[in-house]
Amino acid sequence: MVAGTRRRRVYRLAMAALVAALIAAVITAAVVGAAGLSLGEAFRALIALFAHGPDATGDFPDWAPALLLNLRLPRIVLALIAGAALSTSGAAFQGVFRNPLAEPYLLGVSAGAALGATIAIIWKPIGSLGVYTLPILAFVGAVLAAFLVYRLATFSGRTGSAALLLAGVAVGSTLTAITSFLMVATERDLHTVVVWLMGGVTTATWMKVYITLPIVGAGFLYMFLMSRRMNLLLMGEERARELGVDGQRTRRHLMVVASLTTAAAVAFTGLVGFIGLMVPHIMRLVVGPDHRRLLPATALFGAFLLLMADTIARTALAPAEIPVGIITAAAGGPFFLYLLRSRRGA
Amino acid sequence: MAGTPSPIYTARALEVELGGKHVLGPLDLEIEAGSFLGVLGPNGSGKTTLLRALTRGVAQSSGSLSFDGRPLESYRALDLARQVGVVPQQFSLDFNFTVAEMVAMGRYAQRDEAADGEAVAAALRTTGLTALADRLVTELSGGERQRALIAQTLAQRTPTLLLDEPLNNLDLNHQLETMQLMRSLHEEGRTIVVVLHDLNMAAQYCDELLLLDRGTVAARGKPEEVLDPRVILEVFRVRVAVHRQGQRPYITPLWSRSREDLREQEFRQGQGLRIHVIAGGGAASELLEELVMQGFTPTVGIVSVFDSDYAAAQRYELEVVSAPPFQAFPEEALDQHAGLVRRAQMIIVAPIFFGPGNLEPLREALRAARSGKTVFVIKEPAIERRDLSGGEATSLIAELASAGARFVSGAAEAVELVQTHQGGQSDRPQSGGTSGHRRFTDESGRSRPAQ
Repeated sequence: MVAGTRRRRVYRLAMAALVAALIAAVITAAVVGAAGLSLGEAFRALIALFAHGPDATGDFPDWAPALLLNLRLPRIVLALIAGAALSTSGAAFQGVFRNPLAEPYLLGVSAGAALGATIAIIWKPIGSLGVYTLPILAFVGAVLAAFLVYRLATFSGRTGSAALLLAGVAVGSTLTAITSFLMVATERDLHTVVVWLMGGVTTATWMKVYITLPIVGAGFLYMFLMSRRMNLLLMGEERARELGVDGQRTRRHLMVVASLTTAAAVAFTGLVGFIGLMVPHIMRLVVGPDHRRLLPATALFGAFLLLMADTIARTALAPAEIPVGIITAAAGGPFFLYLLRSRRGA
Repeated sequence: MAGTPSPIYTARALEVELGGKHVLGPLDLEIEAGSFLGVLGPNGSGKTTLLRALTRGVAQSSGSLSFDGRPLESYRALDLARQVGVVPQQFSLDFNFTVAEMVAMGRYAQRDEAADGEAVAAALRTTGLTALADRLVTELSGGERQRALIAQTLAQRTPTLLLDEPLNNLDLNHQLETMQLMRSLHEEGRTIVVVLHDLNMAAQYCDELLLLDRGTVAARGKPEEVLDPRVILEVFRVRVAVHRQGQRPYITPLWSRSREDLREQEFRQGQGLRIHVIAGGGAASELLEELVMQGFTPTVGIVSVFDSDYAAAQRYELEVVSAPPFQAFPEEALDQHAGLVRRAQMIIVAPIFFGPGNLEPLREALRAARSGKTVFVIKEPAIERRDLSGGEATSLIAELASAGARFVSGAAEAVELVQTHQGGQSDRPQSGGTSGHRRFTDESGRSRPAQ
C-alpha cells in the first residue's frame, strides 16, 4: 500500500507544518500592531506574560502584557476559532452535498445572521439589552434561517440536495432583501451594518471566546467522529446505507451541527467569506479526501488563514482596520474562479 | 449445503411504486439461504427494483418483506450491512480516494479493525486489483471501477450478496471471472442473488433462475426449466432455440419481432402454408432452421429419436413423426406420417440417405406429387450417392420428377421457392397474408425474388 503509506506520511508532514505555521502566526499576530510597541518589546512582553502573568515587568512598557492579554490574545484566539469553525463546516457541507463548491452558508446561515445583526444594530430598544444583543440575534437569525431552509426543502420525509440548494438561495435572497431594506431605511447605522457584514474579529473579548469555543469545539468533535460516515456519504446516500450508514439521518445531523457551528462563529465575527469554501478544497489536494485527515488539517489551516488575514487587516493600513472579510474575499474570489475553471477542464 | 433450506428473504404480496407508477408486484417470493439465484427479465421488468427492495433502496407500497424472519424495515442500516452486501448498478465517487481506500470503506459495518487489512487485501486480490491499489478511483477505467465496487462489497464479508448487473462494463474475461467468483462464494455457503442481462451467463452459473416480466414472476426454477422457448418468446418477444452444454442449457436467438408481427405470425400459422419436410440423418437441419427463420412452421418425418433432425425439430417445437432407432418404421409412425403429408400443401424432400428401411416416406411424397401437390426435391448431393436401397430410391426420385416434382439445389433455393409459391397461393386470403409476408421479409433484411 504505497499510496496509503505516502498519504499517511504527507498527512503527518502537513500537520507538523500546519502546527508550526500556526504557532508562528500566533506569535506574529501578537507582536505586530498599532499600539506603538516595537517588535522586540512586544515579544519580550509576550514571553513575560506567559511566564509571570499580566503584572510582569521588564524591558517593555508596563501596560504591554495587559494589552496583549486583553486585546490581542482574545482577538487571536477568536480568529483561530472562527477560522476553524468556518472551514470544518465547509468541509462537512461539501461532503454532505458531494460537491466541492458547497460552503457553510449554504442553508442561509449568512443571510439569517445578517438580518439578525442588522435588527440588533438599528433597533435601539433591543440594543439596550447589552453587548451580546447583536451576537444573540445574529445566532438566532442564522439558526432560524437554516431551519426554515431545511423545512422548505423536505418533502414527505426526504430532503434532496437540489431542493436544499434552491431553498437556500430563495430564503437567502428574501432575507437579504429585508436586510437591505432595513439598511436603506435607516441610513444612520448604514456604516455599522456594512462593516459588520464584511466580517471581522475587531471587538474580540475573552467572554466571546468562552461562548464560542464550546459550541465550535463540540461541533468539530461531532464532525470528526462522523468522518468515516462522511466518507461513505461521498458515494451517495443509498450506497452509504448499503455499507451500514443511515445516510439520510447522518446528513441531517451533519447539516444541523455544521450550521450551528457556523452560526456560533458568524455571530461574533460577521460574514467572513470564502474561508469555508477555499480551505477544505486546498486541504483535499494536500491530504486527500478522507475526512479523518481532512477535518483536522482543515481546522488548522482555516485557523491559520483567518488569523493571517486578520493580522493583515489590522496592520496593512494601521491604525485603520480593513474588515477581514475583504481580505478573505479578495483572496477567495480568484481562487473560486480557478476552481470553476479547473473543474470545467476535468 | 446440507440441512433443510430456510428462506432468508420472504416476500408476500410485495408491491413497489416509484413516483406513483406501479413497477413491481404483487410478488410472492422466497429466497433460500445458500442459494445462487439469477434474476432475469427485459428492461423495465422490475429486476433492479426487486433488488433495491431487498436492500431497502426502495420501500414497498404494500405487502411484506422479511429478512431472516424479521421485517426488513425493522433493521438498522448497520445491522443489515453486516448481513447483506450489495453491488449496485449505479455508483459514483468523484473524490480522489485510492482504490485501497475505497475498498476499505466496505469495512465500515464490520467494526473489526484487526481484520480490516486482511479483508481489504483479500478483496483486492480476488478482483485482480492488487496492482491498482494505489491508483485514484477517479482515474480508473469503467471496468476497473466496477471491479473496485465489487471488491468494496467483498470486503464487507457478508453472508448474503446482492448484485445488480455486476458484469456491466466488464470485458469477457472479467465477466467470466466475476461469475466464477460468485460461484465460489456460493460454494463457501453464501447466498447470492444476481440480476443479469445475459440469459446464457445466468444459465451457465446460477443454480436457479427467476424470470420477471412487467413486475411479476414469469418463471422460476432450474435454468433448464426457465429457459423455455415459449416463455422467452412470451417475455422477451424473441424466438430462441435452446441447446445444451453439459448439464446447462443455452439459447441462441432466431429472430426478434414486435407484438404486432407475432399476431400476424399466429395468423399465418393458422391459415398459412402447411409444409412437410421429409427428413433424416441431419440432412434437413439446415432447411428446417431456414424455414423457421422465415416464419414457417413445417412438420417433419419420419426421423429416429437419435437423429439430429429430430433434435432440430424439437428445438423449434415442430410437429414431428419419430420412430425408434435401428429398425423399420412401425405401422403407427407410417400412418401418422401419411396423415401429415395429406394435410400438407407442400412437401420438401431433404437430401437424406435412403435404405430399405426409410423408403416409405419417399413413396408417400410420390403419391402426393401424383395427386397434384407441390413437391420440392433437394437434389444435391446426387441421389446415386445416397442410395443404399439398391436403386429403388433412385427410381422413386425419377418417378417424382415425372410426376411434376421440382428439383432444387439446396435448402436456400427451396425456401426461396416456397416463399414465391406462397405469395401466389390462391387458396388463402391474398391481401392480409401477402402484405404481412412482405413486411416480414423487409424486416428480416432478406430479399426475395419479384413475383
